[in-house]
Amino acid sequence: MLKIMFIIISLLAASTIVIGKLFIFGRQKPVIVGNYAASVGAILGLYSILAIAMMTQGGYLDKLVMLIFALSPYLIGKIVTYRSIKLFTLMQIILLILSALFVIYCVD
Amino acid sequence: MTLDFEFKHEIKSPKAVLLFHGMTGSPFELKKYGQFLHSHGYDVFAYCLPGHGDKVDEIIKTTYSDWLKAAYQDFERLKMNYEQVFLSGLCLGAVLCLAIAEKYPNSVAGIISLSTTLFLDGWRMPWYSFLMPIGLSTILRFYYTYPECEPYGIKNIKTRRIIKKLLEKSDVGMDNFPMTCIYELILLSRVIRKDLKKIHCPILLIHSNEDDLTSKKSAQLVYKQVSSPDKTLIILDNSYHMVLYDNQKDYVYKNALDFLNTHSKSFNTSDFDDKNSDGRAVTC
Repeated sequence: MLKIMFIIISLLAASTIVIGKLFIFGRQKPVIVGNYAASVGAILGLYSILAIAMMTQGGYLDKLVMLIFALSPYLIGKIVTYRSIKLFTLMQIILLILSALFVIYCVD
Repeated sequence: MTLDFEFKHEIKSPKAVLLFHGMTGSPFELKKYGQFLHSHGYDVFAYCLPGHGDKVDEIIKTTYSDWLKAAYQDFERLKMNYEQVFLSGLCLGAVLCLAIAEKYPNSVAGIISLSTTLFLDGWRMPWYSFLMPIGLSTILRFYYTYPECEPYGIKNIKTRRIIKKLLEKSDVGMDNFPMTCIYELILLSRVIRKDLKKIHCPILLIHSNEDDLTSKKSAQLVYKQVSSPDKTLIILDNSYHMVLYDNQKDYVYKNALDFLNTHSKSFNTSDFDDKNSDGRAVTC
């Protein structure tokens, strides 16, 4: 159950960022952007919680990888700058998808 | 368009007041206040902070270090030319005043801190403000700008309409708060809070009980933590965040002037140690 929830949330987080980047941020009314950004924030928060919860499963390497995935939104947020935002947004989306794939194929 | 101003007297005054505007604002918001202080014998200076003006693109690239650097430079320049330099700021500007007083504890003649913004916890914050830590610490902060909206920090409806029109023209400040700017303010706030004890110059804090952007907790924290023997906290009961434009602006001006006059007559850095005042807090 936890595994399925994590996969859904990670893919949902990735897709909301893509949709936000393409159709919402800077394109819609501030109220819509604010509510949408808050939703993405909530999903990212939930993603981290689930990733930490997933650390109860698998071996030591799996736990370490899940910890990195759990912290990735904040690590990326720490190092990203205005100039590198496109690159790091792409990196964040890839990491979210990779984490889902990792749980599907590697975590027992 | 430059919004900086310098109000000097023909015969050079020994007393100067350096003003700092608020987050996403400009020196325009301090102009009347500056003119008022100038008319009472002070040379008054206000400069636009890095990234501020009317372009959101610029402020997104700016960090709190840029603001600090500019504030320190402005103060050092004035300190070379004036016997006494007072600081006054609104919102982010008030935080910068505290930063200068922490770095140059023996050089600042006094601080007038208006609507000090160390925490963004005012009543106007949106329902999702509890998610702000996540938004600020992830890539989301580059994509979201918090829109400036009613009541624009002003309780007085007539003044609010004027400010709204000016913001729509967008030539006196920005009509929204980029999250990156809020992020930098919060980082700056953390740095400043650590060293509040270093401040021992006279300080006047004015904050509204109904501040829509930052609650009075910020002013109260500064009031409690600074080492200044001469400190005053005034809580306004009929204004919002922009205390220089709101219902009690005359009262704010009067108290600011009284503070300057009191400390410009007898100011001497060694005097601070002799004063035994425990400070005072008043509500009006």
